Amino acid sequence: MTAETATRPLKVAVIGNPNTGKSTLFNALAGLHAHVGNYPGVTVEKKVGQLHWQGATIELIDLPGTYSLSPRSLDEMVSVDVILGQHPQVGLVDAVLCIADASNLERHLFLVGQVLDTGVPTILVLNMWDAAERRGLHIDVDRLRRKLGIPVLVTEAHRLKGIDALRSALVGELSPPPQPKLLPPAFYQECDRLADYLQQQGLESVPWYLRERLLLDVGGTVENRYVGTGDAGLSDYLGAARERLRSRGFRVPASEAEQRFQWARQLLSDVVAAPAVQRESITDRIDRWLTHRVVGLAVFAVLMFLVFQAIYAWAEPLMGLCEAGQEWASGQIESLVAPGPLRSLLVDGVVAGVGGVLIFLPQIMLLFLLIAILEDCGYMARGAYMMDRVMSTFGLSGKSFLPLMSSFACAVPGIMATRVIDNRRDRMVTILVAPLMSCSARLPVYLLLIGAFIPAQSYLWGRVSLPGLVLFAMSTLGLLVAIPVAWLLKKYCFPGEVGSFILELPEYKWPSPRLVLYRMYDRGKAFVQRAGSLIFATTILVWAAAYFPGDHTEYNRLNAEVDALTADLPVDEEGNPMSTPRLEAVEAVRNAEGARLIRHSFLGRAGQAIEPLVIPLGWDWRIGVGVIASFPAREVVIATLGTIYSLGGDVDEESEGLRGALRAAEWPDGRKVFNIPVALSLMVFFALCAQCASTLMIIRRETNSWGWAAFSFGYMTALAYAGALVTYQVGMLF
Amino acid sequence: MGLLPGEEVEVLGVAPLGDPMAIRVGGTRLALRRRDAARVALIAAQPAVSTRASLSSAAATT
Repeated sequence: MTAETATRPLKVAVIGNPNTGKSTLFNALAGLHAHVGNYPGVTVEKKVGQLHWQGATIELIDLPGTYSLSPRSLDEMVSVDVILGQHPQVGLVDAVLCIADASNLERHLFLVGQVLDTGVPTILVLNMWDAAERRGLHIDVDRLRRKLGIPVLVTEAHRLKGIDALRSALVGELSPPPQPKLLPPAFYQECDRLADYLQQQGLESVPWYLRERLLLDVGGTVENRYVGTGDAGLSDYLGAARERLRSRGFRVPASEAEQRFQWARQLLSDVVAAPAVQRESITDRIDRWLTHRVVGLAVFAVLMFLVFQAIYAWAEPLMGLCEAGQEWASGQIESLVAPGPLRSLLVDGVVAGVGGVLIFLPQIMLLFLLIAILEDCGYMARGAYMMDRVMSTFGLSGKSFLPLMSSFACAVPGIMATRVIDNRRDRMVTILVAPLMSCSARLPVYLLLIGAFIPAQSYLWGRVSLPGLVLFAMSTLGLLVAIPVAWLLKKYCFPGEVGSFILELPEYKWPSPRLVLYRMYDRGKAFVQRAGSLIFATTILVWAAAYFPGDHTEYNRLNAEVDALTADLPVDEEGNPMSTPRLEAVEAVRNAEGARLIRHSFLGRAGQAIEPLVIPLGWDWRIGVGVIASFPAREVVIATLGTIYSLGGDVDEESEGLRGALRAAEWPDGRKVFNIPVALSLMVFFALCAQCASTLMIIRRETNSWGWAAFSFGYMTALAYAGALVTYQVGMLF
Repeated sequence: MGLLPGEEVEVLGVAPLGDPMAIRVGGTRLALRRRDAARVALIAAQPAVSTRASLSSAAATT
């Protein structure tokens, strides 16, 4: 590069079709130190990596995998803007690194042709060279280089082959590529006329490539952008221009594809020599079993069960470790800090907040480890292929299956997994219905209420128990509701024709350990950095609302007394401490004081203020407070109910005390608060509500919009309220 | 990623539940729904397994 650019980093945009090993190559070039962020207003992730080579610094900007540079959405437009140096967050780009699959060059040259049309210096990388060799392809790279007039390099990214040569090429002399001008002359004449027209309209700054796109993409994002800038005549002008092209034998949009593929075929005619007879590949043989009517579905079911099991059960010990760490930290703080607001903030706010973030990490890491393996070996596409029929009945595609299934364990990793869905509308709908799946945090709430209120009857000679039946009904309720919700969202919020579903089924290969581990690390890091701080902040806010403005001196004194009494309890013959009447009496007073404090806290007042709203659901204000307090996470409702029913905070869904307290709770007029309809209405509410700050924060992060997070909260709360209302009112009829 | 006029299409199979079908175009395996596949006009080639796409109205890139 020239002297003046040597002082600043070279900016290189990395683009390529999906399944070209682009991520592996990016990591091989830039190492693991990529900076991940968002472009404003779109769901595209901005990933930037740096590398130093021969004294130069190169900044690599990873663009999403794409088959073309014909933007149909704002997300796709990001790539075009970055390459053209028009993206304000990236600035001028020095070169484009275009990655193609060596074994599938003809199709991938479509994108290469469009990149060359942008006029930005381009390096073509033929990756997966080994796959091409295995298929017996001979590619004359020198000839391809001469014909294209740009540097062409060969790599095997997963084995780190050819990486250094590529780095050297990046810092080498780069010049604008010869534009292939592969469309007919009539088209380029029309481009020039359009340039004159744009100049008259004061739009002379529209780059050459976007002028092409204006003519070629009917109703495309480029057209919408410039028509939107106030030039009403442009739309008519383009219509007329396309008509002129048609009359000269160039049909928009079909002809562009024909011409580009014809160009690719001609270019490769004396470059690639393929063996005459294509042998049946290993992939074909594997596919015969893995997509088999019976065997294929059975293997899929087993694999999905394993994935589910992993996030549901295998993550358990790690999550237990997080909880143990949390308890240990609380204990440490309690021994160091005197009782008071600071201790409460540290223990119930900070430690609980950090714990609330970390508790998700094992699930996220495990899920992404498995997803990365399934994706990288090529199986994920087969899963989507087999499940597409099911998902298409409610307007989604096969790619939504895994994210939704993962959401049965936890919506947070489930929503993060929607990145495999390339169709934006499908992805948004999947994100928005994922929190309806019955996640593991709802289970404790169901277990508590079922244990306390659902009679243990059984039917069919003891095979089916009523509690089990209710648990099953609650777990499937969300899924059943998700079907019409997805359908409605698709129809009203993301309208548009059913896009054609085309999915590439890549060759099977061994997953690359580097890439798999990197994905797992990357997702975990993204979660902690982006969602973590917000989850943390929410926990602190709810803590503050429950703590203030009460005077806690009496409570702290009673607590200290309980601790002192517990410390020198008499022991029985087996060495177990025995409770004393004195301890029980002090505990009862302390718990009553705790309940009084929460009743007078901001949270308690809010609960009492909304009582008229929750009475139609059969709830009293205490349940209302429990529900509000569970905003950070659903299972928090159990601890809050414990406090508010004077049991202290240390209760779980198994504790007899809490069950008894719920059964005994009364309205001021002496009626019992809880009966079966109330318990069911509360369960239905939790089945459908969005009381999970982590989920909402991850929706914000993945959609890059607070609006969609608010929308999720709003529609789910409305559904939950309506569901609980109907449950209670209908239940009271019997 | 379009199907283009004149390309040879080989049907590899149908998904277990009967909907998307797997085809090979060029060196790529693609899955597409019957609804979309119906928009591709085919002329049978010599061997019964492979068929030749002609006159494809679905010849657009996605």
